[in-house]
Amino acid sequence: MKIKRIIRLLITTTLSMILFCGIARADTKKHSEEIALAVEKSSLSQEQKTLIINRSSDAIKAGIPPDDVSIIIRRGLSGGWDSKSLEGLMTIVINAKEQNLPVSSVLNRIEQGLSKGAPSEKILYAAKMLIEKTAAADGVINNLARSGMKTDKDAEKGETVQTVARAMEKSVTEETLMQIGQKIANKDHALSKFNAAVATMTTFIEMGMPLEHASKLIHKAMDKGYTESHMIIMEREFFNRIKHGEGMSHIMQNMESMMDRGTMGTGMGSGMPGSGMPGGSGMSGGSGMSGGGAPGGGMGSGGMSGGGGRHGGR
Amino acid sequence: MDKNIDIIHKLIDGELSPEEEKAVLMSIDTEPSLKNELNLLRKTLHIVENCDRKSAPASFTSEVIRELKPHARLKRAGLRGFFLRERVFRWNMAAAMAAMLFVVILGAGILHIQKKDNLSSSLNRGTMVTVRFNFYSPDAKSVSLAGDFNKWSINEYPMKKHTNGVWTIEIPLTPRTYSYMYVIDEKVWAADPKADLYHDDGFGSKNSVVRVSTS
Repeated sequence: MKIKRIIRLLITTTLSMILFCGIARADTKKHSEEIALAVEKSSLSQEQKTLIINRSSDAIKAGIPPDDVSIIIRRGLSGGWDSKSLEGLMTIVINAKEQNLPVSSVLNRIEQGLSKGAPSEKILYAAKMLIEKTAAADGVINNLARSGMKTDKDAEKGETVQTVARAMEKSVTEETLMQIGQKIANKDHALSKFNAAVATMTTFIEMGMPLEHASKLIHKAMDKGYTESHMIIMEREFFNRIKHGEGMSHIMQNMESMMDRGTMGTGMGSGMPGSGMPGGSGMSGGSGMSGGGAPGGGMGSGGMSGGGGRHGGR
Repeated sequence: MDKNIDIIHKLIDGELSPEEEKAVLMSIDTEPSLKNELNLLRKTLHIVENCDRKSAPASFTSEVIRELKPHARLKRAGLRGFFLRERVFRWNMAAAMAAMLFVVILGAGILHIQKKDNLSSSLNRGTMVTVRFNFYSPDAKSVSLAGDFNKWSINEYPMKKHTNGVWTIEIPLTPRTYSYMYVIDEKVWAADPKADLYHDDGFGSKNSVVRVSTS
């Protein structure tokens, strides 16, 4: 009887897998056909067409989502890319995937560049650089895992690797990142907190704050036990001060003293999460004022509609 | 004796010619033991013929086959025999439909999870939040919204123009941080002047950033 049950279980599992593979195959087939159609319509030679189709197929087999491959090929061809550049792009992504690196930010960068009409060499370079940074970022996270940081959730790890890669693109050193990570690993081991800290630091740097000072603020925030929400408040405080034309040194001074006094989030246009006041008529079509409450603040020129969620209209 | 019994069986089965039948019946009349045997067989036949007839269950054959000892050669074949042995699979429509339903639900579930993973690697997923985007551009012929939520497609989210020159669109998003820009007349990429933040786009421009949360 046991054997009979095992056989039944095997049959059910096999059928399920066949069905799932069938659905996945149908999706892959749809995108493969899109690629084939776009390639066929292009002015490439037959040899070049075959090369592109084969490389696309390799990318899908390597685990790149078929819809991303299809978008890249179609946009590349409609943007007048030659087969060599397209093949190069596919090769870069395939190599990254084969190294087991998270590739979604790279695909996002490529798709964005193609959509914005960036030159092929610029996109190729940007993709290559981002993958290099992603590989380095992966190393940082693995080192932190050895120091006690919890990295068992794949999605969380992938997201953090991409955040760290973005920081490294802004010349944040591995040493600086490790110091922040160690501090968090020693306290509560939360990778999400490290992700938020690095993202905020990178935002500060992107908006003109010197690296050393951004790092100093983040260290202070960690010492004070700031959460992910506090990080967002810091970013908003900083951004609002920039918008109001405050000088960088003045902003840095003020932010530090606010952190010391424990008044972060009560300054210019800031608010605690969820406490922002809707401006004007708030909801759809309103004309509320900008500024105010970090997440939950319902600001902006419109507002959230439906669903009970939030974000201030853009 | 055995020969006589055989002849009696043939008699009952109607396998004798009329002459043979006559001769046999005369012989039986002279031999009481044979006469008894014939009567006994006739009675048995009568009982059997008058019994209620019940049809064999559908699984009769499969059950008989299952009870039969496996062929010695296959039994010796071990694992090979296990996989190659012929089996009878019993099923009914209800079980088949239940299995089908299970497979469909399982497949749909796996697909749904896969789709979600593709949509967002966010840690904070689940609830969809409708976000309204507004952009003032009175002279534009068309404005669309492009971002990492639609793989930077310039056609997927066309915005609607209002009389005051403001273009709007509402889209459902899962809670996380998104980069986006507005595309004017399918050519010009513009950042949102009212964005939460701006991030470098890697190509020398700044993307607008929106943070979507449920709180």
